[in-house]
Amino acid sequence: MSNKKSIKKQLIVLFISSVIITHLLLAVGFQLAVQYHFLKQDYQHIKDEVLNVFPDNEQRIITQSILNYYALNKINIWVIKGTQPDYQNSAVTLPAGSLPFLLAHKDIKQPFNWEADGDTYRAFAFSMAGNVVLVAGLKINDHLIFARGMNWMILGFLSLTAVCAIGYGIFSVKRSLRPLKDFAAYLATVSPEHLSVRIPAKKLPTELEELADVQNKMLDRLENGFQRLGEFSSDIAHELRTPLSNMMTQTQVTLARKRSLTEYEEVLIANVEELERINKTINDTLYLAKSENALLHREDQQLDLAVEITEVIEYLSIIGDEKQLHFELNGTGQLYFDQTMFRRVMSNLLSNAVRHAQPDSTIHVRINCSSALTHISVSNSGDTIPQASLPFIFDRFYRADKARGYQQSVGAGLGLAIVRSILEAYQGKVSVVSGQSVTTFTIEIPHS
Amino acid sequence: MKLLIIEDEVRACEYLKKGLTESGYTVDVSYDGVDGLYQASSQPYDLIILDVMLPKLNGWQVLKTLRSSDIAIPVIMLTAKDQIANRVQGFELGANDYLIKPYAFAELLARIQNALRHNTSRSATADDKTLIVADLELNLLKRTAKRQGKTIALTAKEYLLLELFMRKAGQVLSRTAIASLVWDMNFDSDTNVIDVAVKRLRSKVDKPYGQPLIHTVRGMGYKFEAVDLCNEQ
Ligand SMILES: Nc1ncnc2c1ncn2[C@@H]1O[C@H](COP(=O)(O)OP(=O)(O)OP(=O)(O)O)[C@@H](O)[C@H]1O
Ligand SMILES: [Mg+2]
Repeated sequence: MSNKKSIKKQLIVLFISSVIITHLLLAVGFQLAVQYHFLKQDYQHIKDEVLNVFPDNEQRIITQSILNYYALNKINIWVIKGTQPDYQNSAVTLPAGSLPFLLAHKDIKQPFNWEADGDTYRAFAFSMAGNVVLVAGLKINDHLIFARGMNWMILGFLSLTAVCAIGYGIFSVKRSLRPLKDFAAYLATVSPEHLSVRIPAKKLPTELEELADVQNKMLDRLENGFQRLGEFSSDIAHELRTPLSNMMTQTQVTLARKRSLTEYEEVLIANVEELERINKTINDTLYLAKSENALLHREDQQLDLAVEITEVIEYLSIIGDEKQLHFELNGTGQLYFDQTMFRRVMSNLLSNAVRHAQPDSTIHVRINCSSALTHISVSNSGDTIPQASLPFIFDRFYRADKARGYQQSVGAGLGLAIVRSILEAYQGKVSVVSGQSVTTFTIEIPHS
Repeated sequence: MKLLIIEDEVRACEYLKKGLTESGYTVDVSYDGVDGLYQASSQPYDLIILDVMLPKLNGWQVLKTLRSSDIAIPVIMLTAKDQIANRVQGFELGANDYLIKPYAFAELLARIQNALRHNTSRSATADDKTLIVADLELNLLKRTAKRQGKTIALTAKEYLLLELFMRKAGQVLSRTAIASLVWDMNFDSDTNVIDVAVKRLRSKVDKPYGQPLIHTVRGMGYKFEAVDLCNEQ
């Protein structure tokens, strides 16, 4: 047998031992009560019989008539004068050594018990007039028989209940631990292909309900993660298929017959451009995966927000100028953040704004620092994002203007997903409001 | 200049060898760590291009053995892993440079030129106050540019871009490299920006003066070079 702890064994042992101990205690208590009851009864009986013959409030003087009365009523008495037995009315003698005890315990419920010729006697002492003590006794054989009988009864009862208790204990412990088995059976069916298993927590006892809830939440998270992983691979496969098939067709068409050098060159250049896009998509996807799994290397430092944003604006204003866009930056602030990540966030938001702004408009950037939070908003006027697209705008590979489909100039739809995941790494948030030809993205970063 | 490529992927090797041979280098190829190590220690090479994931001996082990037997040939490591720890490990073991796959071929060429130049300890430097290429002159102290004696008005970033071009004259610069070196955008940003910026710089530096200095290398990036008009195509 292993000495591994078993809840079942422990519970059964606990149950049985507690049943036996309670029964034993009860038996002992019962015994004591019965003995005390007999004692009281014996004392009262003897006291009544012995003392009733004396008139009330009178000194107890032993007279011959009293002795006769005792003999008549078959009350065993011994008269002790001083310290010596003086008279006895039966063949039974007080055993040696009983006198000092009896003399010391006069007139109280304190018996002296002894055995003689197979009988058991009990005697009490009463003080009389003069230096005389009257000892009165009786046979208590029937008490003993009763007590013995009762002991047997209790023993029988005890063994019976113990057997019942063991049976019931095993049964109920097994039954109450059965949900654990079901629990295990449920969990055993979990696998990557079969993650929708949930343990029916409601049906379980309270103690297990909590555990089941925790397990179910864990399964939720796992299922979510697996689902995301699955979507992720199919998304990226889909994203890469378009440029790859473009390249494939173009290259095969070109190879179908002889062409001029410049034509070959054109194809190669087009291929390089497609490949660069594929490369960027893979890099961005990897970056996203890493940041979602907190694997990015972060070098946080104190950033002057106005300076950082100005740098990004300066960079993007180069293409902004082509559309006569103006930039306006309001507010200042400090933030403890990774510089490249911050620039990446701003560059993604601002390049979207530049791309979607209508020509000759102004892009506003506002920094708002409170003691607990930094808010930065980027807004541009131009075509807004359809209301129905807003909930998905931060999902990877999502583009609101699907109709345009895959186009050279449009990105992979990872920009905002990267913004969100970088901010989440800093417990921040990004939100968007788009309407009345103004689109505003606001990021919120708590100061840690 | 003799280069050794240690890389187990045969096709990648072939293309690299072709590209590098066409750029004027003599190239040997080795497909595994043990053979690569043998070649590197038995023949004089000017530079080694070393892949990390190799059969028999990996790139780190090859590099370590080379350095511990006092072979100081410059080594450029190639790897698909882009973890900081890896990079640090590479430099600690004595790699001269480090490229993450997939890399732009232009980038590799530039790194090779760099590593070779470092190795010959850069004896021929012009004076450190001016940079001169053809008739274009850059004053590094005043941060001004002059062409054919006429001052060209440049914004701060345009000046930086021009200085980068002139310092790396003859090398192809990719858009990502330019974005990172001039604007400090160290991530895949909107590289259209670079095209517009270069277009603008050209309109100031090249357009008014017959001979173009900034050249587009299609599919790769830009190159700053004084080429004779008759040599150009
Ligand atoms: N300022 C804006 N105005 C209107 N629509 C916007 C704006 N910013 C984003 N969008 C919409 O949200 C979509 C997702 O933007 P996101 O930056 O994630 O991807 P992208 O810009 O298409 O590609 P990438 O950023 O990867 O190059 C865009 O395709 C566009 O439809
Ligand atoms: Mg974008």
